[in-house]
Amino acid sequence: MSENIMETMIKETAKVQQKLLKGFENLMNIKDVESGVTPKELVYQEDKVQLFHYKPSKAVCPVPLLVVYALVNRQYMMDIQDDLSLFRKLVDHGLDLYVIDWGYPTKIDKYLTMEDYILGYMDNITDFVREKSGNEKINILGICQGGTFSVIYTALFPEKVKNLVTMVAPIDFCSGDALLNVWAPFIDADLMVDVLGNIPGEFLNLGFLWLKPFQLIIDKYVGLLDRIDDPVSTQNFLRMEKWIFDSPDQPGETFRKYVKELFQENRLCRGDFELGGRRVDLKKITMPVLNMFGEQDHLVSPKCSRPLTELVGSKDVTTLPYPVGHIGMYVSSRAQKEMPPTVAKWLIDRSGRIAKKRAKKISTKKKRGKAT
Amino acid sequence: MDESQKNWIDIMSQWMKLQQVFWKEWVTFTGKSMESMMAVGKPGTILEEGTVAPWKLYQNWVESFQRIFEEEDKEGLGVTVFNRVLRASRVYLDLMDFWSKTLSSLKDIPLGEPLTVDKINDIRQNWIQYYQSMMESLWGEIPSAEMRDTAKALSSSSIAASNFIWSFIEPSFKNMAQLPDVLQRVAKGDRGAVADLGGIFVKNYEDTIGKALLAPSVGYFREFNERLNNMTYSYLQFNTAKASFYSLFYDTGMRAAEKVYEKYAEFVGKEITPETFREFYRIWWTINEDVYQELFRSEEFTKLSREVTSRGLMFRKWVDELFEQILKFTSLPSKRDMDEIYRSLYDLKKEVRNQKRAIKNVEKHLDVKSSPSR
Repeated sequence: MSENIMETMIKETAKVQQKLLKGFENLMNIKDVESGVTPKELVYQEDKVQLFHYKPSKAVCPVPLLVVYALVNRQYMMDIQDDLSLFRKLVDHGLDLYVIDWGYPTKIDKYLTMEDYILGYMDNITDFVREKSGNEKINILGICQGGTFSVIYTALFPEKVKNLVTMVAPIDFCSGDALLNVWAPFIDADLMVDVLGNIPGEFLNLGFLWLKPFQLIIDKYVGLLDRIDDPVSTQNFLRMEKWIFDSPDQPGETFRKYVKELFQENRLCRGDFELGGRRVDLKKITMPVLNMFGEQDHLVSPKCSRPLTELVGSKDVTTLPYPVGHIGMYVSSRAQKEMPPTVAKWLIDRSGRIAKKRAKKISTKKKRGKAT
Repeated sequence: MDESQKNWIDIMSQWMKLQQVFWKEWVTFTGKSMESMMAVGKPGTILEEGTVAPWKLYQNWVESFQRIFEEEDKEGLGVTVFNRVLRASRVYLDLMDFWSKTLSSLKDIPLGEPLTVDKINDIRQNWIQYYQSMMESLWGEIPSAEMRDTAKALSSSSIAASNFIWSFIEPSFKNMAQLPDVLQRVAKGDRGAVADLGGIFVKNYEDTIGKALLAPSVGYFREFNERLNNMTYSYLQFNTAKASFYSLFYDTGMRAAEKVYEKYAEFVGKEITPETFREFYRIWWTINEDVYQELFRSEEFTKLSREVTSRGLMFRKWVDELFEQILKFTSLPSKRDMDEIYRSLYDLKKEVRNQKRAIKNVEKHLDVKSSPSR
């Protein structure tokens, strides 16, 4: 090796050492990493499920938007930090936002079924939001598994939904070429639930890590070393890291039905999925639908999300792919820049008319109430 | 010559005769012993008929001794007792005979050829026969038929024990016969042979201890024993599945390493800078990512991972069952107890929820507002 190279290597090593020392100092000074930064108010609670209201300073859309996140992971990903908060941006665009927090199921919740979540909690929350806002119908934004739940709910209660927005929502579980679709047929959901009860969040985390093991277990942390001397960058990393491993347990019976009837038998797509004895017919979704997904999504393949466009009965369906991955849909700079105004505009364009009629109805009802 | 002199001459002549017989027998015995010892020293020599085999030396010496002292033509209590003692001492000869036949059967094993399971079983059957005949000779003088039957039952129980133990070890002999071949393949670097090696021991275990663990238990501690045995069995099953699973990862890692080294070879002769190490790292993790992605998509991986998960869950299930049994004797609630409570709570909550909904509908219908309870 020439002398120049030796000199470069020594300088590089010294630089890395300094970086590491600064990085350790940063880590020692970080107390906690907060998420969920946008102001909100707890307005409803049922068992462990909570509903938070994100009030806009200036409401533009008269119809409130109910955000339904997945049971897997936590919804504060959409509000992870000041400059990466989809919730804040949606609120800033004048949307009256309600967000469901499913909570952390414990052993006592092992018997909760998909019926309990969709026909129970979700329906009660929808009714609450309708009543609170004075709207007969509300807008729903379903994300990932929450998107699947929202689609099922809307098909069963189309009279309560004004517009439906889905984000990276798996609908056709057999078309996907993602690893989860490859592994799903081999999962013995019955044995898992019978033995474990609730499916531990750690088990799901392991599965997600195996989707890209070297990138997620090694390269991610090597990348951190590059910017560990920057306290802001380090904090952002730690916030994301906290969210990634903050996985609630999955209630056993919900997991059983979701894996067997959706993942393995693909009943939703086939048209014979039933919930609470009622068949879920996607053709009953006749209101406007906005279907967003990531073209590089390794978790929910675009092939799983795209078919919603053809399966619903609506004539007003907008399909919006983004050249990002699953997490990128929430936190990439492109998604942060383009998505909130797109969603807000799309919803506002389709929410105007009902609001005027509803306003008249509300005032009539109020007058009747005063008279009695 | 008076009477006492006559008697003395009688005794002396009898004693001389005895010494003559002794001497004759001793010379014959010694000659044959020397012959057999010389023969044993020369490998490949076949002993001629009549030559005393080394393990027969003692037998022949006792027989010659008996021939000398056994007087069958005389009567009397002393003579009868003496003859019976001599005959009884034959029991040692029968024991010696049994051991000599047992050991001689080993010389039939040809050197340099593999010992097959059938050959071992033949040797075992011969030993059983020798043992049976020895036992029958030992009990030969039993007066009554019932005692004879008892004696037969005793010897047959030993044979039954031998057959039981054989059924336990026979699978081991059969499975281990494959071992030399597999070890050779492992030495040559055949990766599949490592898994095959584990497979031999797994099969061996399943054919022997595994069967014993799955046998039903009896007695006061039956429930506990069954759960303990099933837990042990499922733990071993889980570990064997894990071994196969890990060997798959090992195999994949080796393939990835080969590809990485091929890429590294392109850098030979080129200048090494700090950026080169970054490039090495990038090559290493991207190639490994691709190779492992390929593995994760394979049917072999999905089937094995299902097997590992299932066996792990079965182990967990039997641990729970065992704890269930242990906790019965304490005041602590078990998983089953808690599940009952959870189920009751769930049903109650569901009923309350339904009733609230019904009340709300009724109120809506009647246009009456209730107090907020949420």
